[in-house]
Amino acid sequence: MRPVAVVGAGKTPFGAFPDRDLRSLGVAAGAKCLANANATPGQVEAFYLGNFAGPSFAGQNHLAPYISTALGIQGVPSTRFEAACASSGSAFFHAVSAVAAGLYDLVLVVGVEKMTCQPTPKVSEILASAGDTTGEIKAGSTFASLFAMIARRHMHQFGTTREHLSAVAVKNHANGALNPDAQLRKIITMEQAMNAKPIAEPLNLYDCSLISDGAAAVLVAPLERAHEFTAKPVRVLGIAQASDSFALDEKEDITTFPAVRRAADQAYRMAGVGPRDIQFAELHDCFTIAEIIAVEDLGFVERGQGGPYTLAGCTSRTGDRPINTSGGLKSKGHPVGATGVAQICDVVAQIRSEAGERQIARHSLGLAENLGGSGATCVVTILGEAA
Amino acid sequence: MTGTVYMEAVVHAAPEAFVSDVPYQTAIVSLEEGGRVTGRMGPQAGQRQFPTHSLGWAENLRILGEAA
Repeated sequence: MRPVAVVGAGKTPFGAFPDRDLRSLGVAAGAKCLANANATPGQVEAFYLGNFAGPSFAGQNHLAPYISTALGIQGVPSTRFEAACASSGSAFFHAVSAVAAGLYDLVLVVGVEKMTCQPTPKVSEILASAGDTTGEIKAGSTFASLFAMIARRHMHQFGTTREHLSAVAVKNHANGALNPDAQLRKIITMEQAMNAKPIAEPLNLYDCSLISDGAAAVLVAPLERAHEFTAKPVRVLGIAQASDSFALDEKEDITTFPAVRRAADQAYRMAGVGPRDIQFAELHDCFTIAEIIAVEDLGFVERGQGGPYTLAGCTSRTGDRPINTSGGLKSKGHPVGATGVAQICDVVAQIRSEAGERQIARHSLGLAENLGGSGATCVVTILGEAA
Repeated sequence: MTGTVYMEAVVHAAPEAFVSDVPYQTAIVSLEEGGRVTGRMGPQAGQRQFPTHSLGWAENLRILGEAA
């Protein structure tokens, strides 16, 4: 297996953009990424697209060539990956695998979602199709209510509190407020976070990520060719994708995500590092409880300690291990199919010292965790400075 | 059927098909006879509020569509 690097990155801002369609978002991020890597569309040997529900949100299918041809990429394999919220994490995993195996040299990975074209109850319904529509969803579950149940059980089992959940929201909004590309650039207080209107009790408005439009792209290449494209390549040190049982009621213990643990174990082994070595991370905070469980499943703290760890400030920009310096899905926005690649872009920005006001002090080894559905898919990536 | 409420949530923002039902309570119940199911919980008899902070015993469970 060849060492692989990210040699270019580009994102659109995340938000609600009535005048931008799915295709133009994907093309904008892809073009920005190619420009960032001084690469041309003609050099791209394969195009991998992450998208969750373009057919449902925008009524468009056959999405990979729909976007790649508009980018000027012609003739090469162009394929869409769908794994709910981990769609573009999965596309990135498969792109890195193909380059590592020597199948291609240059693969462009784009993640995109256009969500705000539908009213909220319809968005809820489309998101819920990532759950078991013959069981949990038929009973009226939403994604918020599935994670609300996870939160209730975590509270019951470990003593996690409402304040712990809100500490995640307050921190991520403080980070997102400094991110010019974030959707909700707004600092919130602990009091606001604790008392927002309920969405699915015990989760409230500020526990939930946003409904967003946006796209993100990265260009993947073998490390040995990285300097043709950038002075600041970022090496993919470890990456793994794992799966787990589908519906929540099929899981033995819903306060942990076995797919996260499996993917993390493999990624750590591949990178030759452990949780303690990871300096910062972008984690999948689709709901505040998900970030709390992620810091536990990734081995940063013991089970049940994710809440206290966050409340103590350990994951803030100036803490021991900053988490979601981008603002996370919570404040940056969560265009579902774009999120996995956006996380890679955000880790790359920190490693390259390009994170502006959000730049943290120790930034040479970072991790991204992209969760699909209520935990049936997870991709974990460890990125570091290319020596 | 009887069982134990493993976890629950009260839905305020619902998908299109359930918008007129809010708020409603969903739960995953570990059944006495084995296995777990996800379902809807009604308020307890004589109460208007959902018992939102009580993971524990549940009775009068029935499969959707069956008579009470």
